[in-house]
Amino acid sequence: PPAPLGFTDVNLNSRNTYEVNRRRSAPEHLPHGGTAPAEPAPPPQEPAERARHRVGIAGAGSSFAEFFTRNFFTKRTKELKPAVQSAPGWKLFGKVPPRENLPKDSKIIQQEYEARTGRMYKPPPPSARRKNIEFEPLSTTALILEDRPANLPAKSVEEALRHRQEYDEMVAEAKKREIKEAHKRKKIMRERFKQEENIASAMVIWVNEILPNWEGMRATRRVRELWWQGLPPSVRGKVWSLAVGNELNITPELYEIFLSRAKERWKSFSETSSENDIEDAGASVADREASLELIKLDISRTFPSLYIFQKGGPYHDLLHSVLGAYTCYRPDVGYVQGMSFIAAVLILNLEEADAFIAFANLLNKPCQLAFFRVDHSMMLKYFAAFEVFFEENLPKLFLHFKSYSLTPDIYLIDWIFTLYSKSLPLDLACRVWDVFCRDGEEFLFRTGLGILRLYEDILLQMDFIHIAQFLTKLPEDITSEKLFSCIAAIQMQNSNKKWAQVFASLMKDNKEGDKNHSPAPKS
Amino acid sequence: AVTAGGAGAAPRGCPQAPLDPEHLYNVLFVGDSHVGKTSFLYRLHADTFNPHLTATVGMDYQIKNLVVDNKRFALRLWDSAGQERYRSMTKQFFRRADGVVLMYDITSECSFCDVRYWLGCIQEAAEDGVAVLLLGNKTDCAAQRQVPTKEGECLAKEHQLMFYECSAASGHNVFESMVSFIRLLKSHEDELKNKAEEVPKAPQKKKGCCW
Repeated sequence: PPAPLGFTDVNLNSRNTYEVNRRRSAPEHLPHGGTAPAEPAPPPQEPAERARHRVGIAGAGSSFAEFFTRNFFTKRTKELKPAVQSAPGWKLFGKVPPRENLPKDSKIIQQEYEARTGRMYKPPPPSARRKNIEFEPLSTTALILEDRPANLPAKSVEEALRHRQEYDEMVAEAKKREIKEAHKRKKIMRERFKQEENIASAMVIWVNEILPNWEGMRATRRVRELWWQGLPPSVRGKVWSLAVGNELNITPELYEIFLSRAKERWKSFSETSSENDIEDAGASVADREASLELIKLDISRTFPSLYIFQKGGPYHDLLHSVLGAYTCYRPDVGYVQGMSFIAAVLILNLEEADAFIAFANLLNKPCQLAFFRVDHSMMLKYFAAFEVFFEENLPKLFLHFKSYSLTPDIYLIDWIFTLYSKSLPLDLACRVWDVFCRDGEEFLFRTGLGILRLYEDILLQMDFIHIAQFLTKLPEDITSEKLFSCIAAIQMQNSNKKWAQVFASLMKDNKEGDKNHSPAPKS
Repeated sequence: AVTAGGAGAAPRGCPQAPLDPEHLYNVLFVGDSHVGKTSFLYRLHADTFNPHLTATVGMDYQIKNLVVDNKRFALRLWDSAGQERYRSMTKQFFRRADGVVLMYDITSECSFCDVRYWLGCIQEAAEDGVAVLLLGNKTDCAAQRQVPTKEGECLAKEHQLMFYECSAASGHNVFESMVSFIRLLKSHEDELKNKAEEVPKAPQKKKGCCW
């Protein structure tokens, strides 16, 4: 049966404690037109990394966390994963329910066969199956052992023998595979527990040692190394705030002022638009108001699988407030699609006013300002600097991309605009943010190179459109261990020049780079 | 002999064109934010509606293989972000598009008004005579309809565009419109080839690569 859609009550334990009943939201996720649910059941409503943390600490088993992280972004195409099946056209060991018209059910066929071969069929008790890796593969349909229907010539002895042998081989193969998978699962679980332990001990160090002496310790080697391991979720928001800083000197009071301005504008906007003719409003709305309207539309589309930013969701109004206040605070930047993801990640880790302060300061960094204002010439400089390190670190892939005129904007725009929060699983994106807060903008580009390195072999086999498709919909099963070891292997050093120096020298020669960078579909 | 399969009643996943396509087109999707471009592409790709799609940032890319009239077609679909701010980035992609799908939302008068703006962009940036399909999405929301079918038809007629109303949510006209558009793209390609043969110049042969 499909996953227990709509019957799990999830206990949310983030800022406030409350319960969210999935039953309420379930009906709208039923697929249209009565087709079988192709999508997995919607994940429970909790930030992945928090959920995982909690589950791990409580020792409540990993299946929930595993399920959760895997289904985090349902939009991704499943076909990227290699098909794991054996003989073409046969679905021998899957969870396919036995077909109605089968003369015998698979278990009976198997039992008959076992009886014939002298082995006893012992259905493994369900609990033993989980603990013990040595088990018989379930649900082998063993069709191959069946006699042919009466209207066809009967099997010869050799043929029957061969089929028996083939069947044994298939069973052995399936057994091997299942054992391997069980080992893999076990290993993942062990790693996860280890990770939880590390997080718990790191948290103590952050809370007791580092945070009280922030300025003195932030740049020390020990802290930087600990930082690289990922921030414990409980101190994450605090460290982000401290690292991003508050150059703009925004106070919570200032936030309240801009928020009330935003609220006034929403009020007047909704009044005028309802009074006016729709047609009139459509043609003449100012860009500002259009972007206010856009915020509304985009909020429900931010981390939609979390169900917390959608209308009626617990964080819907919060996200609306932070983004609305920002458009009033920085009308010169305004709202740009992609921002809602950044604000959402901050809201998940910080209190409202702190989230706004971090948001405004983060977006005030040169790189973010260049992108969100769509300052083409500056963006091209960033892409050019990225390419310098791309060529240095991954020359083969660099040439491959060049041969298709595949420019970095194709994939970097999405990554930089959302700081990877849209393209990577949320817990992994938060780890990228951790080090981004430590190292600054160069880490964003280093992460990009890490992703390219991780998938280099696959990408080398692809053409333009497949690369573009792949990089904008990264595989769901990307793990932080693998990605971070790839990122670590990326050297941000080009003939003794570091990122900042490379970027500065690109800024100097103004003429170059403005041309020859226009991306276009290649045919 | 269309094997794309009518959406809705069609079985999941229409027959994919195997390996080397005979024709390959770049198709750019434009239109206001939130009209349903990504949902339409998702329906085309998976034949199901995904209510959890996020706003497109920059550009998304997808490839779709279809068999129409016993010929194998590959579409390279370029799904652009709808927001004003991104339009300067989108413009660069018009140039190499063989076809443009211009989408509006029948429940949003605004999105329909902006169709004229988008047509201007196409005229300005795309090749002359690029095939354009005007699509009014969200026919499943009949109660909220703000743009009558007639208006869409008139606008399409005025600018000589192919026109369909569709619903990414229900699947209505999703495959049908793409199949018709493929036929239009094919006839455009044939025209170009004929012209190229008249003028002694090697026709640009399109070929799929690295499959």
